[in-house]
Amino acid sequence: MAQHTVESVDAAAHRVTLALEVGLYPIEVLYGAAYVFIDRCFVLLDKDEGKDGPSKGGRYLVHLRGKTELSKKELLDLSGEFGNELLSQALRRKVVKANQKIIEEITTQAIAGAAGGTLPTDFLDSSDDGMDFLDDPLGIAVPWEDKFKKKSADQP
Amino acid sequence: MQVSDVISLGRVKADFALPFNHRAIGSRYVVSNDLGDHLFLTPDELRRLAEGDTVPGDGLYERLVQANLVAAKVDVKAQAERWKRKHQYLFYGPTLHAFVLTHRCNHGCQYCHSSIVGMDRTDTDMSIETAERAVDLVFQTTSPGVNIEFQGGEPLANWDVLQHIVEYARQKNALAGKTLSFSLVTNLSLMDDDKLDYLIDRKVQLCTSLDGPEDLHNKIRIYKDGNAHASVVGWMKKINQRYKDMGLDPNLYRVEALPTVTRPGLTRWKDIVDQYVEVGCKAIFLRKLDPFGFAARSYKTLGYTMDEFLDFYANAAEYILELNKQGVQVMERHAALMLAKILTDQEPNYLDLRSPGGACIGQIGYAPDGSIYSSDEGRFVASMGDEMFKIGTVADTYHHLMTNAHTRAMVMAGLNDTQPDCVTCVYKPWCGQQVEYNYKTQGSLQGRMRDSVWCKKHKRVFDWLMARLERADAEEMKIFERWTSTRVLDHYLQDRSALDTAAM
Repeated sequence: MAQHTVESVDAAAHRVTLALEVGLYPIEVLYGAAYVFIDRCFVLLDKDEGKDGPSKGGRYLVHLRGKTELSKKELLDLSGEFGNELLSQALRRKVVKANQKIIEEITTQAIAGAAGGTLPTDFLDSSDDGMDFLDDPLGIAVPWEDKFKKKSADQP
Repeated sequence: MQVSDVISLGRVKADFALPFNHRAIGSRYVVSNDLGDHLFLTPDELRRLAEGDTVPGDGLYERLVQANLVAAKVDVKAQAERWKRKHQYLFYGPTLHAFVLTHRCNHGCQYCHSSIVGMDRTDTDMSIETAERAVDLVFQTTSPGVNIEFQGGEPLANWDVLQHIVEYARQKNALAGKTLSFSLVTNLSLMDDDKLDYLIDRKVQLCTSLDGPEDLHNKIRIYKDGNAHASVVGWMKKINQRYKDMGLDPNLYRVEALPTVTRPGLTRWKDIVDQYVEVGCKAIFLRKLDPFGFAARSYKTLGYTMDEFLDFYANAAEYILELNKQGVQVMERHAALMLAKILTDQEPNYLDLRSPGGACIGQIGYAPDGSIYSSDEGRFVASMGDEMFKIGTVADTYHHLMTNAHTRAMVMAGLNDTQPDCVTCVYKPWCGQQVEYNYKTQGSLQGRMRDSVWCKKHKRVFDWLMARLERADAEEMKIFERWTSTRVLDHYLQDRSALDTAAM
């Protein structure tokens, strides 16, 4: 089964319904994407538990009804754009999480600089001349061939 | 050329290079790090960088060290200081303060961003009381430099308040001691000799709109009381002559003008550039039509695709470069700003090319009724009935304006480090976004850079520049370097001990 499908298109009612597997995207991502469309559409989020019941996870249903007349092509474009927005929101969430520290540092500095506040004590601490950023505690820099190569016979 | 043809992931030596991004330019790759250092590398040189396959003395190694790409050779302390210098704007508040003195205007420009009204609607003027409260806020900024920009409508329509702000701000600055300057964005149609005398005496920099030759300008900028083009060109020449008569360098001191490119102008790139040269402009900022205000409503007749604009841009920019080779000193401002960031350690603090963007912490906009917006563009969105970017009013404290949730959200959303595309983009150290544009075109403060026309425009202009830099000869490099040289326009800075001449 496709994980993200157009469930139905009703051009007469200017409505398109998408179905998403629960678990494909975090619920916050679904809310975030839905919110982007509320100036153009009436958005209703629903959940279809399916025949097999909630234990199978079910599907989210996203009903988008245009605030103006929309052709079938426009409705399909809208559903495609919704899919793109979901992916964008999901990826941005990951990027923000990965860069959370630098984002917080820069934002704090920018707001403090503008408002006249004080700097966080550890921000750009010039006494810190270490090369910690080159440390690799998780072994990310180790080529996977090295990391997973079979141990040679003479190794215990 | 696929990067997978060049780099084998299994052979990457991750601890050799400082994190970098890359992009194919012609037959080579441009590589940049977060400090904005860049290099052009052949595919094999890129492979050697990724694999750490280079040693001292082989030429490539020295180039990589010079560009701060070899991790073991980076002077962390020095580069941290450099990063701090290049991000000076993080250490102070808004510099640009845009005062909308009135919504009244005597022009009916088809693309106008603002919600203009007829000249009899004096109820849309900023009052003296509101103006003073706004100026009080201006002087609370932590920025050492302040530019008060008068906008409208047509700001000359509210002349008394304009004068009052100039005098009141000069008086306040006698104590504040900031680097204070004023600029006036005007269609010049309400200018007269008395006003000009005052503006020149008070060192107010003048900026106007000039969309090209007469037929093009008058077609878009409708002025029922006269010939808009004749009026603006006539005043530009007269004012430029006044500056010359005062002994000011005409290369630096002149009326600045901006064109807004509309559909009828797309094929007229040569005419538009020639018009600017003819009136003595040394810079031309080729602006795309915005998605705000009338421009949004008249998009069907005046609008165009981003590809069409970028073709226009490349033609115009190539022509400008050609003129420079013939000895005509004129630059394309957007390219010049980008070049300054690419080729030098200068930070021009252009609000659309920095991260985070300039909303709230780089500029704020003051509406006639005392509402305060994140920027000019935030105010344009409001003129379309959406107060999304209103961050407060002149009754609020400066601290509240800078620290409220709206401001924080805009700062975070305007950071390149939050964007999936930006974090892997070779142009990241020199680029930025505008949250108002994201919101208007894609519905959220963050937008989606992958299908954002904002991103597309910046990427293509950077691509054009990089392609040009990659194959530039000595003459072209000299021109580009000249475009990056900035000289402080001292004449426009207010004398800090000006109280004795301030007539309140």
